[in-house]
Amino acid sequence: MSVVLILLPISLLLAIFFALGFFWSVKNGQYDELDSPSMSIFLEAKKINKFNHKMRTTDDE
Amino acid sequence: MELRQAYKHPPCHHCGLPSLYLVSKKILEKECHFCCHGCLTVYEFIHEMKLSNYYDLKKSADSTENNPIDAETLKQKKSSYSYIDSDVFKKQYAFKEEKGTQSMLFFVKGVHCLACVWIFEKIKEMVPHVIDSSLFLNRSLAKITIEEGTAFQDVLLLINKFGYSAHPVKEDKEAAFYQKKENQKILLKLGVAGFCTAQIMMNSVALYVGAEGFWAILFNRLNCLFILPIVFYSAIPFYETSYQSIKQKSISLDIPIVLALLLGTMHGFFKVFTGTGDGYFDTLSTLIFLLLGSRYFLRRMQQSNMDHLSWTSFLKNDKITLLSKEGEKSVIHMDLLKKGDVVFVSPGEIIPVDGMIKEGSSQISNSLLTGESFPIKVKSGDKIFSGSTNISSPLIIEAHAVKEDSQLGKMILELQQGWGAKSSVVTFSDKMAKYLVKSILFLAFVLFIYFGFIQQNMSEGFSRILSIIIISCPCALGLAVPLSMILSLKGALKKGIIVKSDMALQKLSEAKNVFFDKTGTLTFGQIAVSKWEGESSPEIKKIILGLEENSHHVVALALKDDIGRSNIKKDERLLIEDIKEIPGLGVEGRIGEDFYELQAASFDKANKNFYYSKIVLLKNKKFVCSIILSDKIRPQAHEVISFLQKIKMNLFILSGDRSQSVKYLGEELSIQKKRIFSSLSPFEKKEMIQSFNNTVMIGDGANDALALQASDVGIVVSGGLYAGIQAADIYLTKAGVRPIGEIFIHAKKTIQLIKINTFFSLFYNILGVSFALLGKVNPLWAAIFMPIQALSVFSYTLFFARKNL
Repeated sequence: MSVVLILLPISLLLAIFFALGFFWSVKNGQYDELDSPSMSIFLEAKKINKFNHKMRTTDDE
Repeated sequence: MELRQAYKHPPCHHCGLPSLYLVSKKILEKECHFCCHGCLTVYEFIHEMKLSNYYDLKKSADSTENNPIDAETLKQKKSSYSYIDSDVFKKQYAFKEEKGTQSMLFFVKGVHCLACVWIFEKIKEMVPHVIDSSLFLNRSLAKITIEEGTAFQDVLLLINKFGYSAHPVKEDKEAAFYQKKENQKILLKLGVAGFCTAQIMMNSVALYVGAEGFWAILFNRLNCLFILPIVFYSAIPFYETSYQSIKQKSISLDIPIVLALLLGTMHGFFKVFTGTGDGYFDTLSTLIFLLLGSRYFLRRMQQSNMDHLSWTSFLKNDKITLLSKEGEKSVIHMDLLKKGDVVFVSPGEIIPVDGMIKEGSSQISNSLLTGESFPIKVKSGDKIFSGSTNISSPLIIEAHAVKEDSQLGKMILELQQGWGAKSSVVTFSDKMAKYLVKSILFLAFVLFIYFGFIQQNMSEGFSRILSIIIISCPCALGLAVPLSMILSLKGALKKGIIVKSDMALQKLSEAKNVFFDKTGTLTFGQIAVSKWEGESSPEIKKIILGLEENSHHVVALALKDDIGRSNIKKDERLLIEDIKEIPGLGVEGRIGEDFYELQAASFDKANKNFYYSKIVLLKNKKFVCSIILSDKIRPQAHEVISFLQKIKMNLFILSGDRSQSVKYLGEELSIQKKRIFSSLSPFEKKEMIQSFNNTVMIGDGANDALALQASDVGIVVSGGLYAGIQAADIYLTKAGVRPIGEIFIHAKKTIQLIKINTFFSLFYNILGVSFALLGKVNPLWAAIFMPIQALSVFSYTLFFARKNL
C-alpha cells in the first residue's frame, strides 16, 4: 500500500499541471470563439503566393 | 448555343442566374431557358417527379435573402468604399490592438461554411499590407488588421470580388470585452470545479471500496482540501444570484443549492475531523460542476443568438450617395452625414434624412413608418422624413436633420433607452423552488422538535436535518431547466427562428393577447394585382405591357410583375405609338387606329371600399377590362390566424393604415371587429399594448418597434427593419408568417418539457427526503442516488428534444 504514498503526490502534480494548462488556455482566449477554429483545422497549410493585389483591382476597373 | 451580352440573358429557370450559354427547351408547353445542360436536366427531373412546388418555395425564400448578385450591383459597390479610409471614419470605426496596426470589424453577409473561413484566412496572404484577417463565423464578423497608414479599401474590394458584401461595424468594445472576460471567468470556475470533482471522486471511490484507518483519514482530509476551491471560488455565481433574490425578497432555485452546498460542506468537515464518518463531498462537487456547466453552455447559446440578431439585418443602406455643390457624386457612410448635406436617393432606397426635396418628384412609401400601404406623391419643395422608401424615381434631398435628430433616429434612440426595461418573469422553476424551500424548512422544524423534545437526541436530529437538506437539493431541476432551454433555442434556430432569451419562450407560453401589425406582416407591404375583371386574354395583357413598359409607377410595376409571370414573349411586343404618361391618372397610347387608355378608376362609391385601387383599360373610350390592385395578404396568414384562434388567443390588429383597408383585412381573416384598430401612431400602438397583460406583438418595422418593446414578447417577421429587430425578442429568418405558429407550439413544448422535468425532480426529492427522514441516507447512498437523478433527467430531456423541439 505504501506505493500509494508515492503515486498520490505524482498524480496530484500531474493533475495540477493539467489544470494550469487549462487556465492558461482560457486566459489566452482559446475558448472565446469555437466555431471557426474547429473548421480551420481542416484547412491546408499551403501558402498562396503573395501578389500585388492593388495592381489587379486597378486593372479590372 | 449562342453567346449574347450579359444583360440580355433571361434568368435560368432552374438556378436563377443569367443564362450565359443559352440552352432552351420546350417543357410543358413553355419555352424555358437554362444556363447549362445541368440545370436543364435537373429542371426536367424535378418536373418529372412532380416536385415543381420547389420553385415556388425557392422563390419565396430568395425574395428575402441571398438574391444572386448581378453584375450591376457589384459594379456599384466597387466604387463605394472610398469613404472608408477617411480620417473621420477611421477615427470612429478603426481600433488599435498592437502598435503600428489598425483593425476594423466588418459584418459580412452570406458567410456560412468552412470555405468562407478559408478565404478570409487567405486574404492576409493575398494583400501585402494586411497583417491579419479572420472570420468569426458564429457572428458573421470579419476582423481585418492592416499596417497603420495603409488602406482598407483594397481589402474590401477584394472581399467584394469574392461575392461577399461587407459592412463596417462599430462594436461596443467595452461591452464585448466585458462579455469575453465574464465568459472566461465562468469557464475558469467550471474548470476548477471539474478538476476538484475529479480528485474528490477518486478519493471517494477509495473510501467506498473500504479504505480504513490511516487511509480513510488521508482520503477524507484530501476531500476536505479539494472541496474548498469549489466552495470559495466555483460556487460564487450561486452566492451572487441567491443574494440578489434574497435582496428582492424572492426565492430562486439557487437558494436551496447554496444551502445544500454550505451545510453539506460543514457537515462533512465536522464528520471528518471528529472521525465519525464520511462527508457528502463527491455528491456536492458533482452537483456544482454539472450546474455550472449547463449554465455556461446556455449562456454561450444565448450570446450567439443575440449576436445573430444584432448584426443580421442592418439598415439596408449604410452607404449614402452624397452630392457636392458641383454636382459630383460620392459615397459616404451613414455616420459621416452632416446637416445641410445634399443626398441622392435612388429608387428602392430608404430615405436616410429628414429634409426637403430639392429636385425630382417621386412616389414614396411610408409603409415602414406608418403602415400606410399606398404610396404618396412627392415633388420638389416637399418635406420628407427618414424611414420612408423612395419608389419611382431619383430624389435629391437637402438634409435638415440627420442621425439622432431625424425621425428614424429618434425612434431608434427611444428604443435604446428602453433597453432591458422589459419586466422579468418569475419562471416556473423559481415558483417550484419557493415551495421546495418552504417545505424543507417546515420538515426541518418538525424534525428539530421531534428529536429535540421527544427523543432528546439532538446529534441524530441534526444529522437527519442535514441529510434532508442535502438530498432535497433541486439538482435535477437545476440541470434540466438550462438543458431544456439550450435544446429549445437550438431547435428554434434550426427552424429559422432566433430567440433572444429563454424568458421569451416562457412568456410566449403564457400569452393570451396577440397583436398583429398589418402592412408588411399580415400583408406583403406592397401593391400587387389581385384580380382581373373582364377580358384578360394575352392580347390585352400585351397591350398593357406595352403601355406601361417605360413607367416606374408602383401600379405599372405591379402590372408588369403580374403579366411577366404569365409568360408573354418579349419579342412579340406590340408597337405602341404616342405613349404618354399622365401623372396621377395613367397612361395612354395608340396602336394603329385604336386609342388605348389605362387609368385609375374612380372608387366604387357604393361600396365605399378604399382597400384597393382599380385600374381600367379603355379602348377608344370603351371599357375593356379592369384590374384590381391591393396589398396582398400573405398566403399563410389565414392558416396562422386560424391556428391562433384554435389555441384560444385573443387576436388584435393594430395598424397605422387607413381604417377601411384594415377593416377589410380583418373581415378577410375573420378577426372580431372590435379588436381591429387603425390609424394608430407608433405611440398609440405602444399604449394599446400596455393596457393588456400577457401580450405578444408581431410586426415588422419601425412603426411598431415601440409596441414590440412594450409587449411581453415581440416577434419580428423576416425582412423587418433594424429598429424592429433590436426591439424584438424573437426574429423569424424565414419569409412569411408561418413560423409564428411554429414558435407558439415550440414555446408550449419547451415549457411542457420543463414541467415534466420538474415533476421528475419533485418525485426524486420526495423519494430522497422520505429516505432521509428514516435516517437511511448516507454518503454512499447519495453518491448513487444523485447521479441516477441527473442521468435520467438528462436522457429524458435529450429524448424529448429530439422528438419535439
